[in-house]
Amino acid sequence: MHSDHIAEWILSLVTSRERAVATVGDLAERSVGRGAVWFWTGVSRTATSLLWSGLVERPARVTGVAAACIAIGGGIELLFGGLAVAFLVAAVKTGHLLHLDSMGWKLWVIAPKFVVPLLTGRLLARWAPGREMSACLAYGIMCSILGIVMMVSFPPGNRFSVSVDVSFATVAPLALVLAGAAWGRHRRFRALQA
Amino acid sequence: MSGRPRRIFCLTTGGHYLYPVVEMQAGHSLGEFEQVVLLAILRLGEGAYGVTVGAEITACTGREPAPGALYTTLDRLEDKGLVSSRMGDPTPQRGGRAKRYFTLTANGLAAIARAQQAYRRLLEGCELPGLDYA
Repeated sequence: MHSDHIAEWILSLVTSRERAVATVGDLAERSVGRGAVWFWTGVSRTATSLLWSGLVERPARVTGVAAACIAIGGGIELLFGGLAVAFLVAAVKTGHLLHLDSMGWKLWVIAPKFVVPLLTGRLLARWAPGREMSACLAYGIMCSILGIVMMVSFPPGNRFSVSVDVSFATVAPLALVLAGAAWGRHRRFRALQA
Repeated sequence: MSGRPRRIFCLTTGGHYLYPVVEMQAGHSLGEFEQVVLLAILRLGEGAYGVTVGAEITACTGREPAPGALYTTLDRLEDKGLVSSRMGDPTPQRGGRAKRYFTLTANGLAAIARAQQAYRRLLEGCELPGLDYA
């Protein structure tokens, strides 16, 4: 017996729940006598194929959404960073450096690292309904390209290499983006069912 | 689709030249595998679902379709409106999961007929080994 519910969940990220259940049923039926490896290979290949087709069938739309989310995420990160720098300068000037050890300050610095990727995922889900994971794939590809371009443009040791760090800070951890997109997709389906 | 042929722009893979291409035929153009899947559904009639479609393709072409390719194509054909699907009753052999049965829509039938007519026109006058076609 396979962990069919996990397979259904994986496929439901890239297609409708109804289609995912029927596809897992087909794969389970076809895998009789072939084993679990065949079943899971089929699940992963089907999921990959559906994920990729979501990107190549509407490339302009999906990459546009991904680019917009990169820009918005980067903008929010820069805003938080700018405000943090302003606060730091003010603390140094006024001599209230003790504030830098407070929980509020730590939250201010750390929270965007978690909140911005989650919100980015939610935005991807909102702007690419039905193609949430494909939009995440496009987002990941574009972030990787951006990261490579920045690394080549500002190699380590360069006096502007701080720009690389800023750039990578805007490239949110993809796992959190995926979680945000899955969350948004789940909410959309719940709203449709209600 | 009807009216004037659309003018679309393509980027060649070799020379990176932009050149205009006039779309020759209105309606859905079908890829080879899409035609194979549509014909398999047509042959199976009422009993066409993922497993039987795959088995029919294997029996007729000698190639077992990859699950990823098959289900992506079925989804795409349904999204294009060339096939429709309905859920059957849950069966215990499939862990209580329902089968998703496919049937060709009128658009699907027209698209496959158009594609096959094009093949026939291309074949007319050709002599292929093992193919008796006049």
